[in-house]
Amino acid sequence: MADPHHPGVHPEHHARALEDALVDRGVLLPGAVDAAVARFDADGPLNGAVVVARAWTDPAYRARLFEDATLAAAALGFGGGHGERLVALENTASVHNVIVCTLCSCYPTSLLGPPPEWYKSAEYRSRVVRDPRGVLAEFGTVLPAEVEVRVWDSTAEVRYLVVPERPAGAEGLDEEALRQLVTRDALVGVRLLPDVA
Amino acid sequence: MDGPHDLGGRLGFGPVPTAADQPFTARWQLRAQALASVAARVGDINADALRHVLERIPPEEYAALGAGGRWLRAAQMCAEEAGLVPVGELDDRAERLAAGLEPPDPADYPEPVRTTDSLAPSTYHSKRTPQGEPRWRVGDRVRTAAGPTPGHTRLPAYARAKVGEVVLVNGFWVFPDAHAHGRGEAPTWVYAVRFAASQLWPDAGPHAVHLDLFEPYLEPVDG
Repeated sequence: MADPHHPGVHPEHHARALEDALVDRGVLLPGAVDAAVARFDADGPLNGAVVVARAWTDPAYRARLFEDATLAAAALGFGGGHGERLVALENTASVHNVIVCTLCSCYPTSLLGPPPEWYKSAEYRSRVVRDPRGVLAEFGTVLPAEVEVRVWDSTAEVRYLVVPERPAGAEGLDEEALRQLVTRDALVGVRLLPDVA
Repeated sequence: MDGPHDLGGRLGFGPVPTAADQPFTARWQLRAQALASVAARVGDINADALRHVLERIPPEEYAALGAGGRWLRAAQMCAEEAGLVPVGELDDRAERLAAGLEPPDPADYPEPVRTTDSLAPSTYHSKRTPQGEPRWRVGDRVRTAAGPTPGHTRLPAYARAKVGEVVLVNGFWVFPDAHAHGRGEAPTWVYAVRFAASQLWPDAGPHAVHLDLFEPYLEPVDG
């Protein structure tokens, strides 16, 4: 990204400049930004995979997840921060859910980690609410015409998690193996999980 | 506020950059987001006000900056607006860094307006204990406010003056429109409301779009 006002000055320099200015004045402890960065790094997509794999294998847990996803995620140790209220959305053969934040970049970070760049892009934010099938096709996801598409725009602090269908052919796998099948993009709703060969 | 951030349904954007599937392409972008949250915290800028800082990035800049660049811009705005760093100093420092020059002598800069020693991590929570009963129930039809609202709001332009159906009562939360502007928390109910896409845009559908809407945005359909 070029800075139109200061050619040759990289945004990295601007970021360092601000950090130095705050540290030099004593309003920021050295390392405070590193600590904040570490918190961003702490949550990863695996958390959502743990929740979904449990839902696929434990019918009682699945029922709890759709009844109260906040409690169900907390039971596995996930929540807090942007997980103050979670709602799980069930994808089925006839309903497909997909999430977005058109106003900024709200995302279920406690379950999926920080959002990918495409999720924060103007293209995704502007188009997925108006033409979800067109956007999904760009991810290689083509749904049968009879499938009902539901878009969820995260305009408040509630966070949504898409629960994909268990892939065909995965019936014999245990929970640990099922976790490995779950992808971040399926939990956002932009991709389907492939069948297990 | 009508702003560059309110992108839902806007036409003219191309394909989604699906290959950009990592949270950031450069480490400085992650540091910029962390800096924004730290600068906001030190500057007493709450989470809703910080969102509004992002919304106040001039439209031509907002469109040109990526997500990381917007966080950096917001961090600079927080530091300057909170009086933590005078306007001009950040550019001066960045130019010195780019040129490999020595950092400035702190004596050359004005004293900070404020300091704090409270830098423990904080996680913002905006859910509140419900007071009273929600006005709407699942299945109720509601009409959204016409807007536009001055300042920060979480009612997107595309969902103004539209009729939808409440599908979830989604809890009791700090009202961003008030909280972002120093008017207290004014906590209120939030509802997930379902709209037929064909109602939002004449060329859309047959899908449905759901939004989480704060009670003050909603009126009776017949009201």
